[in-house]
Amino acid sequence: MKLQLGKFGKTLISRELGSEAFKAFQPTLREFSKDEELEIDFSGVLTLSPSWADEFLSPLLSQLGDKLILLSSDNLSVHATLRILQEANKRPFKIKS
Amino acid sequence: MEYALMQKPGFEKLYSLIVLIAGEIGDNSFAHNLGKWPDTAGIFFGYDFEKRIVVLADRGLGILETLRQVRPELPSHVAAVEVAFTEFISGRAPEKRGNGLKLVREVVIDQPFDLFYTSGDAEVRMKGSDKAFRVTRGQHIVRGCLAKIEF
Repeated sequence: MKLQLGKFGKTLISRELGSEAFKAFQPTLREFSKDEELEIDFSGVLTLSPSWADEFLSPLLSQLGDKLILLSSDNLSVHATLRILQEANKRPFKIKS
Repeated sequence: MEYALMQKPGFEKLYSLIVLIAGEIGDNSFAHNLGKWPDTAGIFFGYDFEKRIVVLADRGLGILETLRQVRPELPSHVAAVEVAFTEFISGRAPEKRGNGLKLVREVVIDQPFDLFYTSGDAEVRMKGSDKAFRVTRGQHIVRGCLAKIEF
């Protein structure tokens, strides 16, 4: 399954909005097969901040582990945010080019 | 701000990092002062792309009072701002927070941006070729936080 993160907005900043997005995604996640991979596509996102991503991607990583796949992006804010989250969480994301 | 900045020559890619910095500093102001604003609630946010500057300011608790909620032993504004920019710590523990200002520091070091940040009498000046991060004690006490980003 592929999730276009841009569907949650083009400017993904603030913890509050990240948390709301994660809650909104829960019904979809509940229907998700345990064997299935979830691919996160950043295309369409203009800015991703660590506060938003920490409320959305960090809990997804905890829940899905290696089943969470991040598609590579050339957006500098995506690069910087993923770098700091991996450092903070002490756990790498699986990134697919 | 975001759309205007991405149209600016030379900022087609860098715009997202400037928005990230402003977004993190602004989100901190709201998250750490929710229900605790000492007097005036909210933040000042202004930018001028001709002058290549973004400014954010709040009259909130400031870094020291916020972090003393989890680190009561913090001795000064300078020590508190140092911690805020270098450690994964949050004034809203046990919530897992506190990565925003670390990333702001890293981005400013790596990119052609200058940062002036002050809270209490602590000041961070990251400018020009000398991008070493250091916190110094200034001559003025600022209530809350003030950030100036130049690019």
